[in-house]
This record gives sequence, structure tokens and C-alpha cells, in this order.
Amino acid sequence: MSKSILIILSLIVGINSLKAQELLALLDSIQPPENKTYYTDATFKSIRLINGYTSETAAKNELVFSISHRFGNINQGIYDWFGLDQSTIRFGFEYGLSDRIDLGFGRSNFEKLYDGFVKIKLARQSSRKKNFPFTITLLEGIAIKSVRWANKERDYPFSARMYYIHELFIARKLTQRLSIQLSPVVIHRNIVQTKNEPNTVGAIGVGARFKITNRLTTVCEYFYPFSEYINDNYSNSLALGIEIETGGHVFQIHASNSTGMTEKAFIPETRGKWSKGDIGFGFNIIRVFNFNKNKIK
Amino acid sequence: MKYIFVLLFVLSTFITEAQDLFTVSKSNIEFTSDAPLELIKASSNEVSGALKTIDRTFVFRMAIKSFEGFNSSLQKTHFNENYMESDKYPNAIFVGKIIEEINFKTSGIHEIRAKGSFTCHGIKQERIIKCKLKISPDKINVSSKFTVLLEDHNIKIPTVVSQKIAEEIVVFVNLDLASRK
Repeated sequence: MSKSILIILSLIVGINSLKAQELLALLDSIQPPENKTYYTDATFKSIRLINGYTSETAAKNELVFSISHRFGNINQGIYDWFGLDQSTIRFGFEYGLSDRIDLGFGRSNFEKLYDGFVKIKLARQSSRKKNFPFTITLLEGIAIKSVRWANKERDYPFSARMYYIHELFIARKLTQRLSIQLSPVVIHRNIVQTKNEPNTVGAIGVGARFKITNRLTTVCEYFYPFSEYINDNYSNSLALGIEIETGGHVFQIHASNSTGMTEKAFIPETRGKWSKGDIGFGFNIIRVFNFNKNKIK
Repeated sequence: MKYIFVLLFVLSTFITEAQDLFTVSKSNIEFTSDAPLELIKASSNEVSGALKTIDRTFVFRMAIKSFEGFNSSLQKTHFNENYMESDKYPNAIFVGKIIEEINFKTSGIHEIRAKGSFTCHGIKQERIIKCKLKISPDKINVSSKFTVLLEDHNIKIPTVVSQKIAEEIVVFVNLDLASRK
């Protein structure tokens, strides 16, 4: 008898939870979830990884403002307050013309460099209806070195100040936490410092981010210039950092052996060596300003 | 003895198969976060759902990612990435039963209470939600306004933005259900 009561009870309890399952199954059979294309969001927290950029672009009518600082090397000791006495700075602006195209401008006190670029999202990682594994962004940029020539006697043309950057960012958000990026880049310099340096440099960059929490991320970035292009005076740029996101700001704090903040400066011209302690601290503060008109007041 | 129950159970599932079923044909769902420093609105029209008139049970589901609007695209990204974690918890689901015994055969307007479990951000809550049903031949319109407490669904707001995101989100729903024969 007690057995049958148990069966009745389990049936009553069972029916209720079964009902929900059954209803969901019914829903799936008659109205399957709409097969739409979902584009992957937030592969990286911002437009910048550390020194280099990411596959992210500024969204339409949004202005991304970044202030970047790079300090001197920590191996300079207490006299230079472990490098904090020296600082290199860059102000950068990026404005989204559409969700896939943005224009950028920057000014750095490193060689008094001006830089301008356009970033175009050629393809977006997506799932469901349209499946594509990567986000691919193209960057086409120029940089102008405006520092006065050391040798004032020589008559350099203006074009001698120009640098050209062509870079591709191939990124994939592997999981919610982990994103990786590969960035082949070609840099052309109209003038180089010594005769045995080539004008055109090819390199490949690797970057990754790992989210510890929703608002705290670790990032790393490495650039490998193909050896025939750079000589022993230069080393490969390696940077490690953390990112903290607070609403509209992203703070990036990192350590790196590069001082420059434009591709022209940190890919072929990094002089610091991690092994010798030529490591400098740096940070980027990135703020997004929204100029969308449909904002609710 | 127990075979009778099993038989009854099997029979009951057969009976429910052969009843009137209404499914969502048109939908609009909107939420508002009215905080001291910022008003945020977003909406979606991707609700799917079904209502069985014989036992008054229902199920509604929506994809969180389908919410559009917001004050900026960054806000939408934060909504999906940081707050709703919509890759991990893609849907909001409300499944349950209408408490009032109403006649779906005749046209009319009813104020009803829908009782069931509401799942959002992976957290299930037992809820009773008041709705207005407008019944016309082969069509039911459901409209409702209810609130969702972020705390109930373990959606955490950092103190820096606590003035910009309301703790209580107001949700407006308007659904057209059409009969499936």
C-alpha cells in the first residue's frame, strides 16, 4: 500500500516538473529558436591590446579616447625612480564612421610622432545562421615623425618623415574568457638610420587576453619581426598586462620592453631586452564617448 | 494498481496532444532601467511561446541577445558580457499555468495571474505575474507589466555604476498568440 502512495506522490511531483520540460520540448518542436546570425561581441575589452591594436573598432558615432604612458626602464634604479621619472605619452582618438569602419589619430612625444589610420572590419566572427570563425580587421596607417633633424645642414624631403603601416588582425574569441589574435604587419620606412637596415619590415604579432572576472583581464602581446629585417641592436617587443574595466573606462597597466606606442616604433625599433631588465611600466586609459543621437534623455 | 496510474498518465499525455494550442505570432518585449543618473531602454520582438488552452499551461522564451536599443553599443556589449552573460545563459524562460479558469472559447477581456517559474541569468524564480488577456476568435493578445529584481537573479552591479543601473527593472510585454489547428 505504502508503495502505491509513493508512486502516486512521485507521479504528482513528477508531472509538475515534467510539464515544464514537456512544454519546452513542445515549444522547440513548433517554434524552434529563431535561426539568426549572432555576431561575436567583445572579443577584446577595447581597441588596444597593449602597444598594438586589437580587431575591435570604435562603434558608430562613438569616440574612443586613449591616454597612454610608457615609463623608463626599471633597471635604472632608485635615481630614476625605477623609470618613472621619464615618460613617453601618446594621445589617441578613434571615431566610428560605422560599426565596421573607424578613423584614428594620435600624437606621441616619442620622436614627436603624428599617426593617422583607418581600421576596417572585413569579417566578423559569427555563429548560428552564418558561421564564421574569425574577426578580421585591416589597419592602414601612416606616421609622420616631426622631430627636427639632428643634422640641420642636410636637406631632407618631407617624405623622409613618413612611415606606412599595413596590418591585419585575425582574432577569435575561443571561449567567454579566452581570445587570441594574430597580426601580420608590414611597415615601410622611407628613411632608415643605417644603411644595412631595410626600408620594409615584415613582422607577425600574437596577442591574447584571458578574463579572470568579467571586469579583470590579463593580456599579453608579442611581435616577431622576420630576422632578415632587423639587426642585433633591436629586439622583439613583448608586453604583459592587466586590464580593469569600470563602466565606460578601461585601464590597462602593463610591463613592456618597448617605449614607442606606434607600430613604426615598437615593432622594428624596440631596443630594450627583457633579459637585461629593460622593462618599463606603462598604462593606457581608454574612455568611450557616445555621440549617438538616439540617446534617451 | 500501479499499472492503472501508468495507464492514466499515458492517456493524459495523449489527451493533451489533441487540444487547442496557441503560439506567439507577434511579440514585443521592452525593459526599462530607470536609475537616478541614467535611463536605459531596450526591446526585442523575438519571443516564442505556446499556450495550451485545455490545461491553461504556457511557455514563453526569449533570446537575451536579441535586445536592441540601449544608449550606446558599448552599453549593449556590457549588458551581454558583464551583466546577463548571454553566451552562458542565452534565454529568459517563463513556464507555468494560468490560475484563473477562463473560457477561451468566447471573446472577452480577462485579468489573470500567470503562475510559474521564471528563469533569467540562469536563476529560477517562482513568480505570479498579472496579465491582461484579450480573447478574440482564433487570437489571444497578452499584455503585462512586471518587475524583475536584479538581486533575485544574481545580476551584480558594481558600486561605480550603481547610480546608472536600476535595481528593479520594469518589463513590458505584448504578445499576439494565434491558434494552431
